[in-house]
Amino acid sequence: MSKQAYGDQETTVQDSKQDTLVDVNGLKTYYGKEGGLLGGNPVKAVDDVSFTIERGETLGLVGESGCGKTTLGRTLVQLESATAGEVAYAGTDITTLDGKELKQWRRNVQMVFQDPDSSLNNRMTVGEIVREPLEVHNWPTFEVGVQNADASEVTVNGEMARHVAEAKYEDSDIVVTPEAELVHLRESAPIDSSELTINVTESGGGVTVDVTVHKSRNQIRRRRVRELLETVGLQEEHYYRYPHQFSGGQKQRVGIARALSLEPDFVVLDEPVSALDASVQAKILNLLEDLQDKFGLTYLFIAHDLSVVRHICDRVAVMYLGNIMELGETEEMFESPGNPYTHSLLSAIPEPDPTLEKDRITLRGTPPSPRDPPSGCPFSTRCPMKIRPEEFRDIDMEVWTAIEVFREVLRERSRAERTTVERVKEFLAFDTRFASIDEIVEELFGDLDVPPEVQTHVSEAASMVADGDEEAAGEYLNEQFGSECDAEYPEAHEVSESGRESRCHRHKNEYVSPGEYRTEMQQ
Amino acid sequence: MSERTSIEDDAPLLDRIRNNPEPALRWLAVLGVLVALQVGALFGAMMELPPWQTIADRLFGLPLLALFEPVGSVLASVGDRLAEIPTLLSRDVIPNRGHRVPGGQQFAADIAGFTVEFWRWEGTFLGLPAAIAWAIRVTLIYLYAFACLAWFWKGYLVFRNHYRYADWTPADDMIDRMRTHRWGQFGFVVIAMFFMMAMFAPALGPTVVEENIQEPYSYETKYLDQESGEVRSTLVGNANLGSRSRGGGSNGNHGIGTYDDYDRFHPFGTLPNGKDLFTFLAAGSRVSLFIGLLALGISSVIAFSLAMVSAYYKGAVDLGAVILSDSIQAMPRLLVLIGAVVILRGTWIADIYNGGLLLALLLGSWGWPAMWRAIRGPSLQVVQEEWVDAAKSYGQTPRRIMRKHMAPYVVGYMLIYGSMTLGGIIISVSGLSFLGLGITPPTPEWGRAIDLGQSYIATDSWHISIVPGLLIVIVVTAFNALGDGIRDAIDPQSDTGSGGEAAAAGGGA
Repeated sequence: MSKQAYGDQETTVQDSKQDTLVDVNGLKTYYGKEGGLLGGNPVKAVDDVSFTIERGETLGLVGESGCGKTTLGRTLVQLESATAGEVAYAGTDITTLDGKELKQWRRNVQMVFQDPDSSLNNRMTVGEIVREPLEVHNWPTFEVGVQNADASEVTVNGEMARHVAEAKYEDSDIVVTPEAELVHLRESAPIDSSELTINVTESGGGVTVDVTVHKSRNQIRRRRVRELLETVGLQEEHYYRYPHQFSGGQKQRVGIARALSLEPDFVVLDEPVSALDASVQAKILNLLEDLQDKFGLTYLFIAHDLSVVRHICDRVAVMYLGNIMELGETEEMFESPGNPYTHSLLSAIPEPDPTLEKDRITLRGTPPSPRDPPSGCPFSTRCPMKIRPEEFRDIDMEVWTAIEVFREVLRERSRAERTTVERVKEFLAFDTRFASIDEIVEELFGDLDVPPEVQTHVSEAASMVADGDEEAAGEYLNEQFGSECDAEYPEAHEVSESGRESRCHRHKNEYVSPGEYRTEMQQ
Repeated sequence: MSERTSIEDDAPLLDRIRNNPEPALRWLAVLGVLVALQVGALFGAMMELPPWQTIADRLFGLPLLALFEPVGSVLASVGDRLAEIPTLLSRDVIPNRGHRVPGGQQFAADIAGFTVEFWRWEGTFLGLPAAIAWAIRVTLIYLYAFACLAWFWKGYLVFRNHYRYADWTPADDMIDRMRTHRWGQFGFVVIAMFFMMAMFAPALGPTVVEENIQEPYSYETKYLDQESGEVRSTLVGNANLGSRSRGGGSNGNHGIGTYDDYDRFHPFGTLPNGKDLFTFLAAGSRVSLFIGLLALGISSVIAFSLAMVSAYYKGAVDLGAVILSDSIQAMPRLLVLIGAVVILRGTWIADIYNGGLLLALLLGSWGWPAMWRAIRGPSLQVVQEEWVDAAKSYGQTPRRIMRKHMAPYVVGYMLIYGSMTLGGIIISVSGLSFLGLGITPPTPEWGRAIDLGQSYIATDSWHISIVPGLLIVIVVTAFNALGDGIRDAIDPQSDTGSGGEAAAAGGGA
């Protein structure tokens, strides 16, 4: 009889590979409101991001500080609410969930935080910390499925039992049939069959299942916590210790145990090893990999350490200023990066061999404010491979850089707020920090051999600034030196056969691609 | 030593006691003895302490509840009957009021300039002098009270050693840290004594409030008239006139630990009107404790919950709380109190505890803004911690987040701040009493004693203000010390081994 019950198991098993778990579509997370109380623009921490995460894979998310990767991770676990766009988790858009549904969904998704010092409550013992999620969700509640019976006629009794409509082997904790009684107990269910008494009675066309568990919830929870502590490489005795009695690595293990307590499918790892020292990092990374294999977890791994990402991730998304610039297979991206930003990020990885000659791309300046991102390509203000207009393609690199810096300065200046004192000073024709345009021009272009056509444009712009019209000067320079990069948001171009995508205008056929451009520059 | 706990040995508590009943039974036997000694007083307290009459009047005034009135009166008569059972620590078992026997002088000598006399007394315990009889009773009362405390402590230890499923819990650490925290223990002992004073006030005083303070002209007292050598009887009121403390000299002064001419012993001296200060203070401690703790409780609960909610939700909630507390603080507190007391004077609420409840409610509902301000910062700080985010990420409810993840970090500030506020409340009550708006005379209250003695501070009768003043200082310090101790105890990272931190905290406060 039980053979018959197992017979339909195959039909319910799905192919675990190539199965999208998280599908992010046009996600935006802004802080502050447009035209709010203080005026000004919202901070666009995540600005129109789309990607998918397959079941069982590890997606890396890299980028410099402040690029919005942590905000993206927090939005995925609904610690921040999305401004626009959708996050489909196993087909449900979670940005619209609230109340009970949201709480129920939270079981599936957990987060491991960056700093184990502050993510564990110091006033609670390790046992209490790991146990808390279990208490929140009134764990355990065994899902009981009844096979060969009409779901509407089934009643399940028992303090810790709940009826599920479909008796699937991989989802239900307990599967029974009216005849064979217990036919299946999920392998990782937190209970042994000897601790259960199940009575199935059929009467008047209905099936009644009585589930009696010979353990209290607290007993099962304590046992679960002890198991979890062992799973993450701690000892049972640590149950009654406080976080401050542990080292950083051990604390992070506690954080991981807490994240795993509800058997989630998807875990967001927010720089889980960056607060730890190098020797411990490797251990935690190996633990994370082992756990992924053991429980079939899906990871979003947020990091800024690229070697760590190369070690653990299947695919990597490179983020800059709230946008994903490149997304694709890890190894391939490290071997031949597509996007100019990826080029510069990868060139910054320290090389252990001091004799090796390396051409580092040093980006000038800092990322622009996410309140006011550049129009066009987000990376255009710092891009070393920016497309130039036809007539300036041959001018000296140093001159070009000076022009770019000059434009950046004007951009910053037109955006900077002037204080009342500065306005008064300006009115009285005193020198202010906004008046010294000639000095800036002198500093930028003084030592260079500037071609005459460039010189005229620069002088024209400088005179406009001297008249106090910085915006017009900026627009003028944009007209003269601007290109597609300043004007249009780049499309995602497929840059490899495995489907890696990169956002850069240089991937268009008419331009030299970033990789080739870089080789040209080196010569 | 102690076996490791496993899931198997956590049977219900009753089963664990059934398996090994001996320690629990021994502990319960001690309880039996303690209760037997005081059974009458326990019922007496139950009948007297809450204002049953007022409660009954209001309760049975409601239509449906009126049906229960007979039940109430039966309960009341049973309670009264039980309250009459004699108890060890009552005044009747160890009386201290009596008079010297004529010609009963047994011993008189000059020792180091003091005249030491020893008379035989009548009416006192074993014929001992009034002071000694009183001292014996006070000592016994405190011994009994500390024995009760020890019984509670023993109960905890019995549970911990014999019946608890786990051989260690976080609470053990807290208690163990408290066990080494001398400053906190000092506070605990002083506060325990203060509570005992309030509880046993009627038995502690050398005389009784009603006879000595409230209706002195309805009672008589006997004494040995020195001139005639006879035992005479006089009204207590008249005796009070002869035992006044008004600065010494011809105005009279009866200082600390003296007898008056009417064979009455005054451990703390007398008031300007000749009433006994110790009796006054012991009875007053009930009122002061009630007002102080109730007012503190009210403002702490409001301030604490508001701090949690406003820190958690921030934004509009926080702004609303700021505006509300600012508006309350903008009103002159004393004037508002005076106004409210005057308006509510004729109502039933002003009758409970001679106006004590009203004062407690007013002070409590006006005291929270300052307290909320003090803990708002720490609350906003703790809500930024990542463990709050972590709790949100697995769906913990806001209420639990506030309780488990925020409150423990703010409660330390609360304890210190609250213990400092307590003194202010006692002083406020005394100020209002002074204006005739607080506790209605002749009800004893500490602040009233200070006011009564104000003009005698520079004279021989300094004890009238100084003794209650010192008591307030000691009690407030003790609350502060206890708050310090509890704060250190609940913080697992505090290192009580070195006294440096406690000393710094004590010095800083």
